[in-house]
Amino acid sequence: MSENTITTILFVDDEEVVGQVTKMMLASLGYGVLFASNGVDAIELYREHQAEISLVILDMVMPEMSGIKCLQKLKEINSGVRVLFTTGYMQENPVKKTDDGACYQILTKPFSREQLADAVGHVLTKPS
Amino acid sequence: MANKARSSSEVWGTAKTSLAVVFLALLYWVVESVVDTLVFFPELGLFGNLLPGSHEVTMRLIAIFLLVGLLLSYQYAIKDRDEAKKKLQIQQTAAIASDRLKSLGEMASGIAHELSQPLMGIRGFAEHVMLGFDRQWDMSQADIRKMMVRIVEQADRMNHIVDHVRMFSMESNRLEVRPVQVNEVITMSVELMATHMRHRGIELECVLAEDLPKVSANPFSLEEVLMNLTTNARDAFRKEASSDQEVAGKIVLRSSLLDEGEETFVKVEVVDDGMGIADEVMPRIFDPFFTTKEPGSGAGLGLAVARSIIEKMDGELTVQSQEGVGTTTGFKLPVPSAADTG
Ligand SMILES: Nc1ncnc2c1ncn2[C@@H]1O[C@H](COP(=O)(O)OP(=O)(O)OP(=O)(O)O)[C@@H](O)[C@H]1O
Ligand SMILES: [Mg+2]
Repeated sequence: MSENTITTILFVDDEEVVGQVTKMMLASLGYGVLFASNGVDAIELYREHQAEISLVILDMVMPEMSGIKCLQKLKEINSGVRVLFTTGYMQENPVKKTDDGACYQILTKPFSREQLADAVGHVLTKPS
Repeated sequence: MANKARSSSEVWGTAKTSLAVVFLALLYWVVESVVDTLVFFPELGLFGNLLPGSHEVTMRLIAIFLLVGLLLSYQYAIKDRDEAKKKLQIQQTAAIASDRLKSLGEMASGIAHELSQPLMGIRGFAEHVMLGFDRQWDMSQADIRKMMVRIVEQADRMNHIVDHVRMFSMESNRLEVRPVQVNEVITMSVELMATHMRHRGIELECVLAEDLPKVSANPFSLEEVLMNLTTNARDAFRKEASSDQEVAGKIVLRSSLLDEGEETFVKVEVVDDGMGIADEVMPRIFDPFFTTKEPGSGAGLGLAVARSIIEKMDGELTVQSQEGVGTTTGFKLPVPSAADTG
């Protein structure tokens, strides 16, 4: 309906600096950015802006609500939600498999603008 | 204090030497008398018949020979005992060092995580400015300066963490104590452990008493103690914990002031509602190398080392537990009286 062709991404991370830097990176890559610093706010934002959000980038480890739990709630709103996980911990496997068998890519922090661009591009072009 | 100790041991050493001389003289006299008796009444003993010639000289020689033998065996006994003592000391030192290494290992993933955030900040801010130049964005001096300030901030944050780890590896085995605010040590340890714990679905909560007096301690040793107690509490949840779960458990670190009439103490407790400790295990938990954990995951040193550290600071470490309910591990350290701190 709207002529707005910008792809909007919801970025969720409890760490202030990571949030700031990633917002800058995404903006410079030409994406529209929404930001939440915890799972509860993220779900609220997603509910409001579901139509325009093409991708949610979720920190796996956050206080109160973990990224995994947050994903469950997001799926209740939209079962086809696209998600890219981030984590500050070494990960043996760059893919997270959830209980329902779905697979999600994991981006390890610290990531560069280029790595972010690659990961986002990859998830967005993947057929859902 | 070291001076006093040395001089008193010197006095004791001299006294021991003179005692030994007197003792030897007495012993010689006794042995010689016995030998003489044998010479005068050869029918009472073997020697008179066995040894021809100048009995007097031979008997003296035998007496001296016996004495030297006695002395040598005494020397060897002492040497053996000292060596055993030294060996035990080396073992203990090694145990403490290995426990400290383990603590560093426990810290490692927390440290990596803590460093990854500012690192990402530095790279991101710098790259942003660079991109701005390349694409000729309209950035004012003030904008650029703001980015630079953030970069310096983040570098300082990394410095703080690296310094701390360096100090921890260097200092926690030293005994030098200084006035320490226990709450600060708890906060620093929690800062390093929190994300790591959260990753395993465990929340750390601090309940700190305000206006606590300082105690005399080595802050890095205290941190090692806190880490040992907190990892034990963490392991008490291990069976059910997985990072997917919301909260596997909660560990509370609490500080308080303890007034026991004459003396005041600062008390620190680590409280978990994990699996608890079985009654039959309880008496052994402080034994070095005792562990109920799988091989490779527990060395059985945590509590032994923690206790020795706390006792070196004139404190006391205790464990209370009920199987299936939870465990409270804690220590108290004496608050120096005004006269001591003066
Ligand atoms: N908070 C606790 N909850 C349940 N059991 C505990 C707790 N703290 C200690 N224990 C028991 O006491 C034993 C000895 O603890 P200790 O810290 O000395 O060694 P460890 O944890 O097994 O190994 P290490 O600390 O060297 O890695 C543990 O194996 C465990 O059985
Ligand atoms: Mg332990």
